[in-house]
Amino acid sequence: MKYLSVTLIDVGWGDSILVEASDSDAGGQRPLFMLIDSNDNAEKDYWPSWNFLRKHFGLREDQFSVTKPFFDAVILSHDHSDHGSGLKRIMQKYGARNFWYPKVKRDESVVLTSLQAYTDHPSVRINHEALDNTKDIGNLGDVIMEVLWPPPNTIDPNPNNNSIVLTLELDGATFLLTGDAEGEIWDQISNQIPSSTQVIKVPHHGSRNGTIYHNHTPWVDRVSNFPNTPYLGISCHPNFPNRYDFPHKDVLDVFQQNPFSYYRTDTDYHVTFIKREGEQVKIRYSHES
Amino acid sequence: MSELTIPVQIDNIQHLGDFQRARCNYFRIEFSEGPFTGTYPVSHTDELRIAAWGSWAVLMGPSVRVDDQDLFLSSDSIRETFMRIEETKGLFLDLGYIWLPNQLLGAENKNKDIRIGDVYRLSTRLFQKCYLFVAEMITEEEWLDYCHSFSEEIRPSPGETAAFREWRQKQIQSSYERYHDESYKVRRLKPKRRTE
Repeated sequence: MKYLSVTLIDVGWGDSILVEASDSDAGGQRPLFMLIDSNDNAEKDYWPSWNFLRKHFGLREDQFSVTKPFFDAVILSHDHSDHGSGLKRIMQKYGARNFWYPKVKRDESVVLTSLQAYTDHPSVRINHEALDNTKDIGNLGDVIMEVLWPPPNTIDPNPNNNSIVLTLELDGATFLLTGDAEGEIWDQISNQIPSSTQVIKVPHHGSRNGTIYHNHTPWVDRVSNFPNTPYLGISCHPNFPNRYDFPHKDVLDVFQQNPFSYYRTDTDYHVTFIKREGEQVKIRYSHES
Repeated sequence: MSELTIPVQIDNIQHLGDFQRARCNYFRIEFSEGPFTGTYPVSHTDELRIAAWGSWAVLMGPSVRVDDQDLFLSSDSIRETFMRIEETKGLFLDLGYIWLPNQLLGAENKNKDIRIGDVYRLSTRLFQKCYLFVAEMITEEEWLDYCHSFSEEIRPSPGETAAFREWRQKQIQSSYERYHDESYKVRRLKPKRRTE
């Protein structure tokens, strides 16, 4: 059966998203995997993304073997530490066929350049490339992928607004992965959000600037009237430093004024959205709040 | 300032009300073959200038054999040092991060004086306190008190800022050339087609 599974890994702070897709052409023998971001804070939570992956794949070793290169793609959504910390370790341990990222300002890229240097190393040699919305990145198995943002010719001084915004589509259902793109970006591209969207990773951890722009809510306005109200997933910054307010109360108020169901990594822990061919989207989470 | 200093690079600068601080990256080396057996803190080994915390360490400067300077003052020095680490069995080079109050970095209220990518050097004891804060082993109030007490133990490192900027520009230039190389499509995922 064809399927798409997207897990928001609870990393405490930042993003880490595991995408799994069936691959019918390979006889369904082995799913394909993609990882978007990682925030492996060695001090606080002991590499939460790496540990999730290690346990997750360990529990499934009877289903498939983990051999390098394991990930079809590893993506850095944008050039911030809370999205790129730990990606190197994961690429080293698991291997990757592709490493994708947005274009960045040439002299300010702190995280990305370190990852590029690693993937360029003669003993590693992972194909790496900047993505924009003119790039055809192909399918991940049975899942059709499209890049909605960024455009090819602009680099925003705010790295959040260079975030790779990605759609994943299977069997008429679209999942929208948003990075930390802020309101001004949604003001430009919300009309491109497919009406088939059924799952949205809330932009920028539910921050006010990820949803509210000049007192309106571009992406919420767009999706709230879709035939299937999308489920929302929030990679939260729950406690440190608590004044960050991710998710922001105003954003939660917006969600509650709309018919959304939302799931949070601080209360629901690892949150998985699953679409199987012929079935509705289902949600699985580690903890019921 | 103590002689032992640790380089950090600004990764993100926040101005959110009273949340005025910058996230700064440091170069973290892990000893994958077991704990490092030096004393604490260790400033120099035969090869690497590091401050070790048990089974991991902070990179403090270029490899001794790469450069006799204590600072990273050229992109070649950075590249060569990273290559040395990557090629040494049992060592793993990664990035970690700490937070620093913007005030310590010379910024007042707006992001005019500091830039992403700027390099600063701080004392090992200031670094320790910042590390403990990220690890949630001290409170925010304690961390701020330490930052205030040790506010003289941080300084900008303009030579290293220039060297790291040059190193990053070279890395991005390489990526830029790749971006425009139409032949570079050998490892694309499956050709796009609609699912049935």
